[in-house]
Amino acid sequence: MIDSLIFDWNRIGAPPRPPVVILNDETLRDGLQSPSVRSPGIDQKIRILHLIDALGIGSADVGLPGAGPHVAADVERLVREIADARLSVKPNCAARTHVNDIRPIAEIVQRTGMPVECCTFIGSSPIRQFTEGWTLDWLLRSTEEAITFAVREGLEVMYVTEDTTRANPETLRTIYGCAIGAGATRICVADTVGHATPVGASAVVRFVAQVIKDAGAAVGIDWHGHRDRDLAVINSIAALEAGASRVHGAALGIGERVGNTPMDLLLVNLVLMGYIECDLHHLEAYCHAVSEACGVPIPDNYPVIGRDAFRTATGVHAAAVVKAWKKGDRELMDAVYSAIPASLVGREQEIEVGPMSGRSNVTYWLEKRGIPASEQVVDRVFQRAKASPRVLTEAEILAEVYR
Amino acid sequence: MPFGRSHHRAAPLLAALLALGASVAAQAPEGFDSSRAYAHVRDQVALGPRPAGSPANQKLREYIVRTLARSGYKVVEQPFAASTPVGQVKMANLIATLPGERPERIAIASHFDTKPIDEFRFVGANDGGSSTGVLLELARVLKDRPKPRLTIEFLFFDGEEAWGEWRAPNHTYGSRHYVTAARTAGTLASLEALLLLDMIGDRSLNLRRDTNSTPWLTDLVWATARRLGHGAHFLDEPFPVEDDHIPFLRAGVPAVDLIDLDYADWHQAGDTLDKVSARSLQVVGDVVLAALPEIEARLLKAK
Repeated sequence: MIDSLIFDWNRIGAPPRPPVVILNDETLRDGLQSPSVRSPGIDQKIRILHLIDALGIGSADVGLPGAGPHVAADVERLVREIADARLSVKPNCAARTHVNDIRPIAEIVQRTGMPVECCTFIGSSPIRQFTEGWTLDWLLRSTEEAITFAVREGLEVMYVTEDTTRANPETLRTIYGCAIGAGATRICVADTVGHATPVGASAVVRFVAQVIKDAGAAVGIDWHGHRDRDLAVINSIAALEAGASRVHGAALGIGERVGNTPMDLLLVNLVLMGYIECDLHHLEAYCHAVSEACGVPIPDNYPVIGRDAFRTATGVHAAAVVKAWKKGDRELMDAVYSAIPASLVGREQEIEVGPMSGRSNVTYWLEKRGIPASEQVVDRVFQRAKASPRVLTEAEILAEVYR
Repeated sequence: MPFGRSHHRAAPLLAALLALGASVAAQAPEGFDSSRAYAHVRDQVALGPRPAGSPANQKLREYIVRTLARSGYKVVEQPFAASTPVGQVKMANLIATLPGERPERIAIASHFDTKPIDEFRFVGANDGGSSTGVLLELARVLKDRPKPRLTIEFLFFDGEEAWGEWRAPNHTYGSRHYVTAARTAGTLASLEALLLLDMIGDRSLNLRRDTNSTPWLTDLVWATARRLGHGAHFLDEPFPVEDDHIPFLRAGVPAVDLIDLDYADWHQAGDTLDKVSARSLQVVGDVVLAALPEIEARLLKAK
């Protein structure tokens, strides 16, 4: 019935659903590169890994073992956990395009017997080449050596070009040709500094798809976005529509500088668009686990997960929600003032009482809790709310009921 | 000694299986657990005498709030100042609500204060302790069951006991305050029945029919007790009782008082934990749980 009550303009001119949509979780690698996060303990990492799996996320970057023995130990423990707990999520690890970073990954695979994809990265933009003093020859040599080594070690390789969204097309064509020739099975277009707009994201992915097609190779495209311009989610969607088959994100958008694509909001949007099917009832637990483990508070006004996501104190909004509630229609109640049904993530619409509230807010608040709601009580609470500069607390409302 | 866990809802067959040592508890709905209720009585007694206005009374309120919070209740404190023979005494009722499908409500109540007595140490294991323990356990059990048709309000009254002689208005301070406040707030009209528990832990449980209580409600509870096989504890002898239900009756709320005043240690130093029987707590807990849906049905039928 709800569908007949909503004209969905989002469907007008919408592109077809991408044939393959896979998610890659960067929380435990790029996410931990945020300057504000506290690095979680191994038990917390394991808990997060289980929640990544529970959300049906296809793969997870579990760290950069080349960073040192401590990271390598955590990576190995996480890979073992995937094997022991028979999780569906597939592990991958980051590595510079250098044998020294790839060898620890190969050793972990040897010790655990679990395949781990090697995500080997290198800078690709002219600004980065100029600053670092890299020549194209050096890029090609490094790429070939590293990938050849990884493939010889039996690793699946994703070749990650940093700063792809500011790289010259001819440089990209040349180094991708080299990587594919050396055995890379995926190419990751990285918007490393969060430069892209959706148009740019789409353009670069379409270009890379053409390069792959021209090479006649069966190579998948990843999109790795950052949220510097706060366009990360829409860029990821644009990348999928342009031909990427795997997109990266981190819980709560944590990551380098202001962070990566927020995985939680990406998941919600992909589900709402019908691009993926996934049970989002674990989404809150996933976000809260990362928030607690990394010391990253969730702002009240954070979409979907924040305290205020389904909460209103405004009279007109609440009145509509309450009318839907009185019709006994949960779906209607969940849709009348909400683009995202609270029930999608196991939450409920919440109505508070504040200075902008009407009497219906008060009645609903009381009746929902079984608190007796006479006219006098509603009036008392209503008057107190009108005189208050903010939403009333539970104790303030109850004090009016029982005084 | 605690009577132990019991799951009386499945009645005779289940009892027989339990007697045979079969473990079927996991399949039965959560029942009233007299060992938990008894533990609450023990914890109250451990606080010592708990008269209104005393630090131990305050500690007991905190205990009630904590216990109910563990079952997911938000407890509301209803503070008030009572004029007593010893001057103004600060008291507070505690209220917890279990929302039902309808806003009309049934209250289950107990006083939690003990009688102020200077001459000896009076810990009120039965008088104050037993019914409060049962009420806490009832709240836990009902929270775990499907949503009730009517809302249930758990009322913990302060200041039921008199300072010295029981003579109006020197008693039932908490219940009188609740009724006055609810009448002013216009919320008394949606209170459709009160089940009051008081002194229900005596080893030899003899509940007599209080003639002040509402007859249909008393009949219904007594019939439920007989149906559960507890008729021997619910005697048909009439006798009048003044208790926390009187202010409700006067305000037109149907009420029944489950009280066993046939208790040798009533207001004596001997009202101690050893006089309280978990078996008696179990009987009352089971009868209240079984009577509630019938009271609901009766009230809804009248609409």
